[in-house]
Amino acid sequence: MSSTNQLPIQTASVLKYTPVDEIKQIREDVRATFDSGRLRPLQYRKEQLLRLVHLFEDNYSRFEEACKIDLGRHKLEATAYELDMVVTELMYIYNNFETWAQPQKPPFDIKSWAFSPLIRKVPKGVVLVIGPFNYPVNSAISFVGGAIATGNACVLKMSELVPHISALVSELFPKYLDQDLFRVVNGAVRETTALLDLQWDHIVFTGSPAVGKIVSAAAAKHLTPTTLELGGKNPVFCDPAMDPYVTARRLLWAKTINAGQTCTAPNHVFIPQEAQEALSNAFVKVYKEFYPDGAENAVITNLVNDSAFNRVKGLLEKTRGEVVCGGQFDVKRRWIAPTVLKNDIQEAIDFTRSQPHPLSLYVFTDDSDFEEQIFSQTQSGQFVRNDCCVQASIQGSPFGGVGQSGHGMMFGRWTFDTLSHFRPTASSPRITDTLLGWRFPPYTDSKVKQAAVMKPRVPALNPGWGEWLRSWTPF
Amino acid sequence: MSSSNVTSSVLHLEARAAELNGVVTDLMYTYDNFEAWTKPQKPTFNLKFWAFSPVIKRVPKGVVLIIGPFNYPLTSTVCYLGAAIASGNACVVKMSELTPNVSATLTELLPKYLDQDPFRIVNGNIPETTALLQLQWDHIVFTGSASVGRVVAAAAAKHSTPTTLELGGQNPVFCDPKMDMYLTARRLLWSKAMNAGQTCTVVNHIFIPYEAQDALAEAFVKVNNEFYPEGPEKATISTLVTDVAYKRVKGLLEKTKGEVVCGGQYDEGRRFIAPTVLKNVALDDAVMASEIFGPILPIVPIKNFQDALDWTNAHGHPLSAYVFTDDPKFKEYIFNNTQSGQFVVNDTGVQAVITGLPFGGVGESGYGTVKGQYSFETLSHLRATCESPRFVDTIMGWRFPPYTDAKVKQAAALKPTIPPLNPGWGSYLRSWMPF
Repeated sequence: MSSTNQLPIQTASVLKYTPVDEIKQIREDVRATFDSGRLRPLQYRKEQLLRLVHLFEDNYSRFEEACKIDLGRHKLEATAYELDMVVTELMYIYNNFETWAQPQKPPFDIKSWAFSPLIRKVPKGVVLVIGPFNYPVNSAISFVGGAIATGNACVLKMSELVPHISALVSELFPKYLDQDLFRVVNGAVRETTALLDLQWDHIVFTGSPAVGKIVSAAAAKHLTPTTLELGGKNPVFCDPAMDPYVTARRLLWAKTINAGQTCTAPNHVFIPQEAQEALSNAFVKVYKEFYPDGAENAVITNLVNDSAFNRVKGLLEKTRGEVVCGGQFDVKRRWIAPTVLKNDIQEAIDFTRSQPHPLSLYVFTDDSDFEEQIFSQTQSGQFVRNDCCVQASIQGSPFGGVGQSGHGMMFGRWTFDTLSHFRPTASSPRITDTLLGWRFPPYTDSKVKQAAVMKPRVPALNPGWGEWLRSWTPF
Repeated sequence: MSSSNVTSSVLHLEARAAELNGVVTDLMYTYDNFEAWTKPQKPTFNLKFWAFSPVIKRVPKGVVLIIGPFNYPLTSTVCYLGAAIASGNACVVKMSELTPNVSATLTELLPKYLDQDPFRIVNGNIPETTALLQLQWDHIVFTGSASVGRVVAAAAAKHSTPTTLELGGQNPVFCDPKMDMYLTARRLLWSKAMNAGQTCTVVNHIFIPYEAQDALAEAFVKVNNEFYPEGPEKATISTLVTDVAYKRVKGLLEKTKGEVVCGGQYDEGRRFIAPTVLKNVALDDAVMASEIFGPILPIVPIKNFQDALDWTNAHGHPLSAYVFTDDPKFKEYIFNNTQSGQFVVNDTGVQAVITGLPFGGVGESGYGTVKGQYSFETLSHLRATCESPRFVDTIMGWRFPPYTDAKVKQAAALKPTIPPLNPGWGSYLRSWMPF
């Protein structure tokens, strides 16, 4: 498709906003169904999860079409980075959640074995998922899957900035999922505010740090735990000894998918002055490989709306950097901003430390010492060597930020544990009153002595030989 | 106050058993185990991602703020300080001003034992706490009431700071009429008497069917005489923390329409109220309006347990829910129809000392888990790492533009197999095959 694609027309007719006065009732309805215990059986959760997978599986081409209209995405990006990813995550949960849901015994301890301690995983109640515009399906509906697996009811707020995708999800939800438990709410600021005024048992928010604070403040009123998946200015630290072609290729890929509208996208690159030229040339080469007919003629993702386009175009106009490649714009554009900070990687580290913690931090190097230097002096959600963005796909790896990039770990088992309440149980046998009889008044000296038996042995602060030998004995 | 042959160590039984020994035990457990907890963790082997060498590294968040309560002023501060140290965080501890002697003692001793550059104590009241909460922290652990919990959460929200809120609740006991009443009364009176009922996991009230109420009440009278042979006024017994607390609890005793079964003695001078069991307490009685946090134990007789469950579910999830029964079905019935931080059968409070169990609330009783390794995990950031070898660009070359149909097909190869919604026989057989 050519670059003369028109902007999508964002009218109310595409996406129907949920009437504000219905929102409270939606929450009450799903809460009532949760209370009825309908979602307690694992088998029912499994059915609902599979139905959610089929919601996508049966409608791939409709979703691809919606992605094309809302974001200008090529089919490859719509499938590989959105639809396939959400289906993969949902199937991973589907195949494993019954194991994760099993009660867990704490490690054996002779002192408490008699109490049969057990950790049972139970749902929290109703989960509110607020989804972003950039990966509106992947970054929202994988959490709905997590809610189903953990036995929670769920209300999903889809982004109004991607009206065709959100309208499609809203249309399909009632056809596939139990509407008494899982609902979609659509709208903008008014509707989201109405949602945030209500009490939820957990809120998962994906979006900007600024809105994250609003969500946190609303959650604070109800003592609601939150998971905030935010963003940050993800830096790239480039070792001058690194192969610039590999670096440029992987970086340009990461920056251009979804027009750089990815929470884990590289924001800027630090490289010593002397190596900048080689990297720039590598970018030019890679750029030509990616867009042999020029970027305007490729199917390339758009910025999501006018205000985003104007913001980014404004940056291009104000920058004092020199354009290496790209710079064309229509409704689509991609650019990368290498930043040079003198000769000293330490200066780059210090700069990064003075900024809020990013979601992701990238290092391009083959030198483990260089890697360790950056790792140990920075903080970030994730830390990746020699690539970008791939960490979000690695099953078994937690995904989340730190500081201003958010908190709470998600994906796979991490989502399951986050949306569960770990409810420990214990049962006191009759013999407890014999063994722990010292706990009952009247208090006597001998009871104080018995109580002291529970205390562990404390090693000396400055142990001598005798102490060292004694530490090998069990008493 | 105490009889002449009670030695000073007896005065300290609760201080030691309920506080000091617990703190030392928790710190030693952390000391003995944290090095294992800090080790990098590999996710379960997965052929699709093995090449990326994913590793989860536990790193500190930065500076942790701990705000402690008055009721277990050391347990709910020093244990978290220990976890902060183990996880590599700096830490500021705000001790409660309502326990001035305990707080002053710790404030005097900490600089003598710990590095003052990363670990500090702040003391004060509302202005000082407000000043602390205006600053940015990397994690806040708060133990206290739900209303102050909201203030802490709101302050944390301004900085996107993750919080752990250890709150309380009206922890109910559901008592099976067939249960051994003596055992029940003994364990419950012990729970209520300890620390004058000022414990987050204390039994708040007891639900029992009408027909069994008197048997339970008689058992309480017997147990009360065993605990306090010379009467509770003469025993070494914990008291309310402040005059305000004393007046509040005494006020409940005056307003209640329940009948006193045992106890009821008081002495304003030393803020003493005897452990007092009440019976025939109605659901809308003054003592049921909010968490008692004092030595009053109401027995609430009910027609059926559904009424008790409905009331419980309408009043905010408690930190702990208790069942006294030997009937597994009854246990399960209460478990499934309530939500609470923890759930304990035939005792109270023990869940806080069992190693390996997480401790935390749900709903109005808070969120986040602490204790042992759970505290360590809470105060750690799980920094996921991975690296991309060169050959990834060969096997995942489809990711680079220009996008072609062939690349779309290659990308799709990673998609998992999806079982059909309504499998027939063929599907069932096929599910046994690896392709």
